[in-house]
This record gives sequence, structure tokens and C-alpha cells, in this order.
Amino acid sequence: MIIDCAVHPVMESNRFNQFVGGPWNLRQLPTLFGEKYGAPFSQLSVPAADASSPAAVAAALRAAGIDRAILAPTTFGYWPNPHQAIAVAKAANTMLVEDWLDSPEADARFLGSIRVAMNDIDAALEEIDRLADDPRFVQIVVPARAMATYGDQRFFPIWRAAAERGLAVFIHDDLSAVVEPPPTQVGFPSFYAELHTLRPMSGIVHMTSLICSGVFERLPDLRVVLGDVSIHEARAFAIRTFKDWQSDRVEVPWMEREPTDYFEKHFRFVCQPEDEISPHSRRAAGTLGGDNASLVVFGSRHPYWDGVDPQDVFTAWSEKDRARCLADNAAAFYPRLGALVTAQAGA
Amino acid sequence: MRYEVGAVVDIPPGSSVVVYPDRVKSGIGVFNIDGEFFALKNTCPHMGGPLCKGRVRGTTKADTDKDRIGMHWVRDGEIIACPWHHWEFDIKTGRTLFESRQKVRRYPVTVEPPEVLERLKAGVEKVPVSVEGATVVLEI
Amino acid sequence: MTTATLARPDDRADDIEVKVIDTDVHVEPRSFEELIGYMEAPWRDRPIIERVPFRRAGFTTFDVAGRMDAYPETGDLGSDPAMVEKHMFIDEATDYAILLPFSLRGFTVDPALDTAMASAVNRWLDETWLSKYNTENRYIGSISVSVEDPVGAAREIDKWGGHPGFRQVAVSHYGPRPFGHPMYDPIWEAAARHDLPVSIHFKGGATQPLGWTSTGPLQFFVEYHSLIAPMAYATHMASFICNGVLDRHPRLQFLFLEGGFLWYRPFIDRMTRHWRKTSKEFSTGRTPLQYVLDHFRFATQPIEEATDPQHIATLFEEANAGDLLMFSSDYPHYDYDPPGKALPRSLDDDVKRKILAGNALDFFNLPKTRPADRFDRMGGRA
Repeated sequence: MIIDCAVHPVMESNRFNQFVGGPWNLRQLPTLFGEKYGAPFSQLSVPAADASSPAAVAAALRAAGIDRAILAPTTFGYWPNPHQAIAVAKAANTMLVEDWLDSPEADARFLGSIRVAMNDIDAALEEIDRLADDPRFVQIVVPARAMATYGDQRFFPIWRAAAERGLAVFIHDDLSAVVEPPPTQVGFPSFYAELHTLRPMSGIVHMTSLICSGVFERLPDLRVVLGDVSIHEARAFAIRTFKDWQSDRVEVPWMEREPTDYFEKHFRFVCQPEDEISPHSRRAAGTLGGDNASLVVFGSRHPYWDGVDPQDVFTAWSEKDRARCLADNAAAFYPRLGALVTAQAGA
Repeated sequence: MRYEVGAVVDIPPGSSVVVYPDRVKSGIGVFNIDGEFFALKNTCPHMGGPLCKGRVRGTTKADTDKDRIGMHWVRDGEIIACPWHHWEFDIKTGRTLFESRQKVRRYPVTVEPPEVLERLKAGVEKVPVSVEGATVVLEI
Repeated sequence: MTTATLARPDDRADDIEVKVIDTDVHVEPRSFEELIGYMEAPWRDRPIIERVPFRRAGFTTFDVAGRMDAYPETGDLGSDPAMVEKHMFIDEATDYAILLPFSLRGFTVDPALDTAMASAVNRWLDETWLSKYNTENRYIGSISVSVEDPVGAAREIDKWGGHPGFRQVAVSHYGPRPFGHPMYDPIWEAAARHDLPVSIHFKGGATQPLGWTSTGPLQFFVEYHSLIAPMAYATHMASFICNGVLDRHPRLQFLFLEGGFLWYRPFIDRMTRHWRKTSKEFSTGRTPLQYVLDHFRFATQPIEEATDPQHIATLFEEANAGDLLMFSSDYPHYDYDPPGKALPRSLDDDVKRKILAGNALDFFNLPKTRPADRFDRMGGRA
């Protein structure tokens, strides 16, 4: 059994415009990979038509031995016009159901993510209500590059809805953003190589923010999956926050445990490019916050160029630890996945 | 071994003093919290900072309910923050406010009236107690 | 290479081996007014204090910002030579202190004023801590420059680059673009011209959107103090590598202060994983990790800790701590780490020696021994 927690179907523009409707389809959609940071190579690992084809994606997953894939299409980050933002999220979700989850070629391989507009909390809650009864939706997906950090109280109702509905929260960096503040706190870097290297930072900020804001004290069942942050980066930054928490705990008295202690219950980390090379990754037994092998979930990032095949991840680990990364961790962590996987195993 | 810290009147409630007995060169902080005395070693278990020279204050307590989170100020005068790194310790127990195995050493401290002090100096152990003109005494 | 200040015949019988170098010590003028006396016309006649941001009220620790036992009876924190000597060299066995002055003030929104102040700080440091306060040759200076005025910064580096007491260039962490951007080249060129390393220190720069990240503003000091510096440093590191600064200046080295250390390896491994593909936009001769080993060093304070020190020691070893870390205390600030207590106990002794002194001896090109002096005697160490 292999569960892929990060597959990114590309919403073909003409088709998407049918779903989003007027007047929003009078405007041109942003390019998939943004306008500023063109990579010096194709950012898709398959022909564009295949990246937008449910049948082709299903076939690629089948070939890689992937039994279940959680689909999270990108929708260009934060949209400035809230009405358009709501329409875009709704269109993406409807299109995901009709073209992908219901696709006969997918042979029930696909699971879904609910996109929500982060600039209108009430609309986000309505969208969750509209779709959450469909058991194929196992998470909501929110952009890593937002206008505020996710521990901010304004977002709390969204996390509460997710926790109550048994949906995980997937924080993922959309490749292009309509409203694009500098991707680092010291301005725009010059090259794609830098941008790609620095992508984990927004996710790290949200992880820290959710912990420091006491979100988990209020929502003990909330589960967060970070799409762009390796366990090693998360741990390194959590250790720094631990140090400052010891000194200024008075600022965040609700935070009763050290940051890495939140990992086991509340965070999983999609495997990252550095996992294929980092000396830290060769050790299944982690250090602070728990074993690496219990905190990582497999994500192929299909159809992006930096994707990975399940047979190439954590090759130095034992079969048991690899099995945890490839399926068991996800099945145990996503509240809705366990039941689905058990049902499938029994069928 | 007993060590005379000073007159009770010189360490009124809310104040503290650091003394340096020969046996504890880094010093011992003696704190008066609402008339009750507590003594802590003047060495932070974290990095060795002069703990008792830190700020005596209260601390925050979280108000957590289902939706909202907040805080309020509690235990004013019962907490000391180390002057290095600001680790908070409960003066009464010597424990860190966050959960840890680190603990600062405590010393027994008593208030002895003059006649008792005289007898203690003479080696007599058990005596009746009054408060007038009393002295704060550390057991180190 | 020894310098006039530090030069002495090698291997004298009474020499003491240098075992502790503190790479982050903040000394200050008695007051800001003292500094104005060192400013040149027309600056010293203009109203300046009102333009200098002395505080960052939104993001500060809740207790006192300095070590409470390090405030002199008169004058600013870190301004009393007798107190600094006691804390640095008598209470602790520190051999050399690398001075990074003017630490609690952010620079201003006016780059010309920034350079005028940096220039005054350098003159003041030369006339005080590097000379009349430096009776035992234990202090080593940094050339303060404003990173937002690269041409003025280069001029300042040229002014002091030949002075034996100044052994590095010091900049703060914030700039409007990552530091590999060509606009900053004059600074790195000047440092390389004088064979000086560059240290980058976390500081609340005036033009910095305070607490702002790639995804909005942080809420808490706990977040700010733990995330801002390493995130900026990761960005600068990638920028230096990709923009060819390190290829143009193969001997130039950078020291990241107060930004931690463990985070660098996953970022660099991430960059390395696809380096052959992603580096096609520029010329590059080495792998990202090789650039780090050749050019970047990290200061320890605030040292990464864990309730189980063995875990930290393991992580340190995996991240080349023995080659890349240098001890720093951040004296006299509240989160001061003393040299005897800072490092994880279970680190290998050889690794500890390199972190405490060996790496800094190489980085600053300092003599490995020094004469015994009155501080050693006062500290009972000689």
C-alpha cells in the first residue's frame, strides 16, 4: 500500500474558466508557475496535457504503485478581489469533484482537498460545509504564502471547522501567487534556484505561528501537513523557538510544551528534495520531536519536476520504516484516511 | 551551619537580598513574600547566571476556552526571572515555570527573635519564639 | 599574519594558549551624546537623536534587554571598561573579545546618516576600546558600515582596512534585496581588498518591515527572535552563492551571528539536490555545501538547546559544527551564553576546542598564543 499525500493536478485554463464562470473568466488566469521566476528547465515532468488529464495522472500513479493519492491543485495563492477568490476556490473544488474524483479512469485512486478563500472566513466555512460530507475530501488546502500568519485569530474558525469535520490542513506553497509580497523577508532573490531553496520558509512560519498562538491547545484534534517543509528544517527552527519560549514564555502562557513536542500529535512533513540527500534523512530514528520515520509522509509532487518516485525515498531505511513513510503514517494521521484504507483492505 | 542574613525589618515584604556566605560564594537570595521568607541559590541551573539578581514579578496564566485564548496576570511577587535568558522560577519551590528537570537549590530559612538568636549562638537548639527585633537566619 | 597591535615574538615561554574567543561582544559609548562628539560636520550640528530608532517596542523580550548584572551605575549598557573587563576576562576565561559596537540601535532611514554614524562609531572605537581601554590587547574591532549605503561602506572599509585593531567588517542583517545582489558588491569588494571577513548581525534595521515574513507579519517576540535572523541568513547565503560573490572573492568569508546554525544544512541540501538543473542561470564552480564549508561560519549564541543534550550534540555533529561554529556570548545582552556553559556537554573535546577558539583563530587570523596579563592574575588563572 502506498499513499501519496502530494499530487498536484494542473487545472487546464479553458476548462477551469468554464467552472469559474463570468465575469471572472473574462480575466486571464495567471501562469501556472508565475511570471517572475522562470526555471531554466520545464517545471513539469510530463507533457502539459498529461498534467491536466485525470486519466494520465491516474496511469502515472498506477505505474508508480501508488494506491491512493491526495490531490491538491494550486489556485495561485491569495486573490485580492474576495469575490473572485471565493469563485476560484469554489470552481477548483467543483472541477476537482467532477473531472477528477468522479473520473472513471481514476478507479477510486483519487482523494480530494477543499480549497478555501482565505480573505473571507465566512465564505471559507460555507465552502467547507458544502463539500465536507463527501468522504473523498480528506483535507483542506491553504496557500503557504498568505497575508498573515496562520496562528492569527482571524483564521481560527477555519481550523476549528477542519478539526470538527475530521479534515487535515495541508499548507502548500502555490507556485505562483496573484498578490506576491517578497518571497523572503529581505526582498526578492534573483534566481529560481534561490526561490526553490527558500520555499520552506513560509511553512515554517505557519508551523511556528500555530504552535505559539495556542491553536492546538484549543483544537487538540487539529492535524496539519506541511507540503514544503522537511522534518529537518522544522526541527531546526523548532529548536530555536524552544530557546525563545524558555526565555519569554510569559508572552505565550498557553504554550505548555516545547515546540517539537507538538510534532507527534499535530504535524506531518511531506518528504522533500533534501530528504534524498541530507545526512539527517539517513537516520530513521530522529532526535527531537520523535523519529523521522514516524513524522514523514510520502508525497510524489507529481507532475512537478522535483517530484519523486516512491522507490527512491528513504532507501537507507528498514522496510518497516519505509512502509510507515509510504502509507502507515498517513493512514494514521489523516482522520478520514484510516477508514478509507481499512475499507479498501477489507474489500 | 547557620548564617545570619539580617534584620527582618530590613527585608520587608516584596523585597529581597543576596548574601554571600563563605560556603556559598556565588550567593544566596533571600526573598520576603507577604511576610514569609524563602531562600534560593544565586545560581541559575540553566547557564549559571546570578538568578537572584533578576526581576521579581508575577507571571501570566492562560485563559483557554474552546474558541478564544487570552491571559491574565497572576502570582505577583512570587516569580523570579533570571537576569540571563529570563528563565522564570517559582521562588517558593525553586522550579521552572515551564516543565523541565531544572531546579534551583533552596535553603531552609527561619525568622529568629533576639533571645533565640543568642541561644542559637550558644548552641541551644529549642527555644520559644517572638517576632520583635527578629533576624532572618539561613541554614546552609 | 600578526598585526602591530597583536604582534609579538612567537613561542615565548610565558605564553598562554588562546582557548576562548568570544565573537559577539557589544560595547557602547557612555551615551549617544558621546558618539555625536565623534561625528563630522555637518552631522554633529544637526538634530540626530530623534532620527535614530533606539527601540523595537513591538518585538522585545519582556524582561530587561541587557544582562541585569551588567548595567553600570552611570552610562549605557556595555560602556564601562572596568565592568566589561571583569565580566569578559576575569569572571570567564575568554582570551579575545570581538567587539560589535552600537548594537542596540537600529540604523536610520537615511543611508547618508547611517554612514556618518558608522564612521563616528569606528573613530570612537579606535580611540577607546581599541586603544586606551585595550591595555592587555584583548579587544578586537569590527569596522561598522551601513549595508544600505554600499559606496559609503566601501569608503569606510578602505579608511580602516589597514588598521591592525579592526579585523572584520560588520553589517546588520536587513537589506531591501538579498546580499548577493550586485548593489552590495562595493562592500564585499572592499572587504576582500583588505582580506577582512564580514560578520552579519541580527539587528532591527530602521527600513526593515519589522517582523514581516514571506507570509505576513509575525505576532510574537518568541517567533520574531527565533525565526527572523535564520530566515534572512538562509536567503543571504543562497544569494551569495547564486550571484557569484564567492567566486569573485574566493578568500572572502562570512560569519552569521545570532541566527543559529542547525537550519543551514537542510536548506543547503535542498539547494544541492537539484543543483545541476537549477544552477543553469548562472556560473558556479562548486556545490552549495562546498561554498558553505569554504565561506560561511556561524556564531553559537543563542546556542541551540534541548532537554536532552545528547540530541543536540548529534545534530551538531551532523551539521559540521566542528568546522563551522564559533563561540559567541552576546555579552552584555540578556541572552548571554557563558563560554563554560554554552556548548552541549557531550560534544567531542576536539570539536569543543575548535568551536571555542580554533575556528575563530583561523577566521580572524589571530595569534594562537598571548602573553599572560593582569586579567589572568585577577582571575586566578596565572
